[in-house]
Amino acid sequence: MKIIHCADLHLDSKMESGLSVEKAKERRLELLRTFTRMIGRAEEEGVEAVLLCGDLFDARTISVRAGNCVMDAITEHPRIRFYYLQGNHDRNSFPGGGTLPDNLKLFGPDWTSYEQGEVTVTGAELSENTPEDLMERLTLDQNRINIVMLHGMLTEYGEKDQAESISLRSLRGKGIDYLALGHIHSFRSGRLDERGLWCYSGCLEGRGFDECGEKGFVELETVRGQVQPVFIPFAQRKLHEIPVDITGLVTQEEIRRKIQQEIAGISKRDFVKIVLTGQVGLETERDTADIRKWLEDVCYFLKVKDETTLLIRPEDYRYDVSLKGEFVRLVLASDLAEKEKEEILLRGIRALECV
Amino acid sequence: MKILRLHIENFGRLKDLDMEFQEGLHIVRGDNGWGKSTLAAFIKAMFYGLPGTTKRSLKENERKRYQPWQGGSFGGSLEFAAGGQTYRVERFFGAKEKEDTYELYDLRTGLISLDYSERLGEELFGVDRKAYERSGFLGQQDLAVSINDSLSARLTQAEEEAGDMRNYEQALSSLEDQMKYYLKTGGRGLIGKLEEERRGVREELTQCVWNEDDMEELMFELESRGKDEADAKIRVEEAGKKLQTVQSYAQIGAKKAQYELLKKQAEEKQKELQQIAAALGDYSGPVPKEEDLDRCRERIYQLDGLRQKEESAKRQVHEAVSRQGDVEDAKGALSSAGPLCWILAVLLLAAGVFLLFRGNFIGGIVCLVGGVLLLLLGFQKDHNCRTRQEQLEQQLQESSRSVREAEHTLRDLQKKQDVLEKKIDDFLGVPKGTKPEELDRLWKQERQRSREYRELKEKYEMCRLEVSKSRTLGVQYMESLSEEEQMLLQAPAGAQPEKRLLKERLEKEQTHLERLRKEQEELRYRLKGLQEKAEQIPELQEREAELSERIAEAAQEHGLLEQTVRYLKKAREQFSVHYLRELKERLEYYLAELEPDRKVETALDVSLQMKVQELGAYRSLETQSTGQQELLYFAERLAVLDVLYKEEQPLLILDDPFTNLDPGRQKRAMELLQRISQKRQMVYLTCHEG
Repeated sequence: MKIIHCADLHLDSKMESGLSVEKAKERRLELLRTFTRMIGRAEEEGVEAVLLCGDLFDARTISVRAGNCVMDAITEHPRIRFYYLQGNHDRNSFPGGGTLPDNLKLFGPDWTSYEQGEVTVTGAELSENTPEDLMERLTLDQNRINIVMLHGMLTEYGEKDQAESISLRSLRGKGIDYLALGHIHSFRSGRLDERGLWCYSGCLEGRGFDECGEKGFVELETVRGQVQPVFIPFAQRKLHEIPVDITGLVTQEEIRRKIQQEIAGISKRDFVKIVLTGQVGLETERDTADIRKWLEDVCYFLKVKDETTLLIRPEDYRYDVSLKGEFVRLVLASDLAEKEKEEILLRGIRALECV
Repeated sequence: MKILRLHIENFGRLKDLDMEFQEGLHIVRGDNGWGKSTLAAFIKAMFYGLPGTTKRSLKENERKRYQPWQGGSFGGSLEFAAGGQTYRVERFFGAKEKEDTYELYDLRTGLISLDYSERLGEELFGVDRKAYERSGFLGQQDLAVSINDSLSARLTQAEEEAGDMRNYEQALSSLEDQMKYYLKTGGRGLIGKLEEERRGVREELTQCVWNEDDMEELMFELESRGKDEADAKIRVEEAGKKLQTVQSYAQIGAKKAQYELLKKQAEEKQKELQQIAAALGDYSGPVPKEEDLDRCRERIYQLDGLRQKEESAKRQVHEAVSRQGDVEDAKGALSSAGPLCWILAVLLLAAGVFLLFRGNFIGGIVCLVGGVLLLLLGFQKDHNCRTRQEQLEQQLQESSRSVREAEHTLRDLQKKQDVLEKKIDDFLGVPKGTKPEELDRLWKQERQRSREYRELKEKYEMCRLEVSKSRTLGVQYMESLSEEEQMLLQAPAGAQPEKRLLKERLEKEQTHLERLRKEQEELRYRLKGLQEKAEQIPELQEREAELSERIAEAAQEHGLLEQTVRYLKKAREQFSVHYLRELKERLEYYLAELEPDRKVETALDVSLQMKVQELGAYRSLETQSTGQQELLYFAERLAVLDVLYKEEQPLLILDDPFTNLDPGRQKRAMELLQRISQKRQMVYLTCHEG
């Protein structure tokens, strides 16, 4: 039996700031398209169940388009069972109102189990209504393949006051074969106990530069009573954060060339955030807006962040009898943050020199 | 500090040059192009090294500028005394700063000294290269430039250390302009604009969130309106139907009449049938059948016959009985001795016996004879009687038999009569023994009744058939009508509401329904609007985030500019406090030395720009004669030197600075130099003799 485990689709979500209105819209559509692409693939591969481990939607209002898209995907694939566990972003707002398709299975604040073939899918939605002894109350038939769905933050001991905290310790020895998790937006997995694994599928598409790297879903196959997960990268676009050390570079042209070298292997479809690093002198030209404009066409979306440090040696100014020297000494002696000192020095010195 | 000697290996145009320096004023004579500036640059390079710059212009790039013309080692050495010690510094320069070498030797021991690092100049003099450049070298050429180009003059002149002080005002205004770009009073500027925009976006966002609340309410309202609509729809349909019924009544009149007629006929027949049935019901008990009546009639006749027979039988019996009586009478008339005879006989015999015994023989014999005679008589009589009796007895037996026979016949007849009578009585329901006439009458009555019943029954059957036919007709007629017509016909014909009222009601209901629909449409439209708005939330959030980011960036930039301005102002203040007062004092001192006859009132502004008071106003140096300017700059340079160098005094290189002075002033300047040279080492480069 093949099963897909995905989570954190955040349909209708807001996108990375700086993206144009059109591209943000396009991106939201792409999120939907990736979802339907995944379901299409599931159908082709003969997948029998799709586990949606929370945060399918992002907000209270579900756009007509997103609502219809999800409902269509479910109703048009009656062979596939959809297990939809709500996350902290879903707000009891599943589209379609009263009548839900038969192949859609929902969960509540306490454990709910569904049997499908050799597999038992059990899940509970974590919220402030979660019973305190939820984890202790989990009992599973050891003779079946047990998949448990949860949406929250996995820690060894769990955080007492946090509804979305999941204690790894409390789930050991329960007979779980696969703990399907949602909440963390990157693929992660590990051993739960001798029998089972835990796994975050991550999100299907990255939305901001805090969601860089490969995104996709996990395909599970039950083989001889065991679950074998494989991560399938599936995102339409990837997000990259690339540090570029520009120490020793002076002109914009040099910096641009260096950046181009660094991003040479990246797909034109992707999102790229260039982070300029290293130490630069006052004379170094580094206009981030200018660089962005220059490299606009090399990828779908480019962001440039300057995290260089200004190369100012206080000893250079110790004997500088001038207003500039005085200024530098004053700023360096202040209790401002290093970065702030640099920025102030840069501005002051440029103002004095560029007149 | 004193320079003792120097050796130039290769430095610009100078090559393999040794020069000894004496204390105080050291005059070097050389023509133009000898390399005075190069010498000055060498001395500076020995103390400060050569800056590592990528600048291409020769003027700005000393490393390039002073690269040995003929090749060879680039650099040399310089011996100097400082802090009571003597040292030799050796520096050689490469194409890049990192290729440079630096060595410092203690001349006393000949060993490498660690007293000073590579930053020898700074450590010795307490000023950086630029300050040294500006203060330690007083060139004629530069002065000349200053006359033509005040700006570059200031940059290269003695007061140049205050160069960026003069830039200060412009730098400040540039920074403040930048700040204004971000933030102007009255919420203008980029931050204001962005904040304004963000406020708009936030308002919209708040609105959208409210909209989400409204949406929930609207959805609820819509649902309730939907229910109302369904109800109203039903009411409209009902009202419509009613109205249609009423309207159709008019149209369906003829059919209705026909139907009604059929119905009426059927009803009448039914009624008739019911009447007949009632009449039939009136017949108490079973009505005899014709053949039963005939049988009864026969029985009555039979009974009549039997009764006549009975009469004759009775008569026969009676006759037999009377005959029997006659016989019996006859029999009775037959008298036998009878008991009296026998008793008398016995008594006489008894009396005779008695008398004999008592001895009365006669009387006894007589009595005995009488008794025997009586007995004989008695026996005779008896015998006669018995014969007669026997005859009579036979006769009596015969008549008895005939009586019995007659009685038997009578009984038979009576029995038959009884049976018949019972049957008849049972049939006619009359008491036993009813007279035949009465029976006949009753029978006739019964026969009448039976006939009537039969007729009625036939009538009933006929009527029943008619009713059924009539009904069939009605049903057939009904079936020939449309469903609607059927409903109309079947609808109670009772009080139909007035058409006008119904119409009004229908219109009212329709209006209500229409209103509900419109309201729903409106609600849906509003909901759609709200939904569209709510769907904008992600976009608005993005916009808000972007604006916030831009505001934060702008605010940070503004804050940094503000800080920059603050520190710049503070730096200026401190710088002024440090140097300005002293500089002014020293300037006045040197001016008094150079112009003892004339009190020159000067002023130094915060940017260390010197002004001269003339005719009640402070005027810039450009208003002065070239010579006067030279003099003022010279005085300022000396003042700057005094202020800058508190510890070790650097070598002052003067490149023919007084060419524009009149002989008197030139003399005073030289005298001043002589005086200063007692405490400061100076190299005076000149191409003039004398």
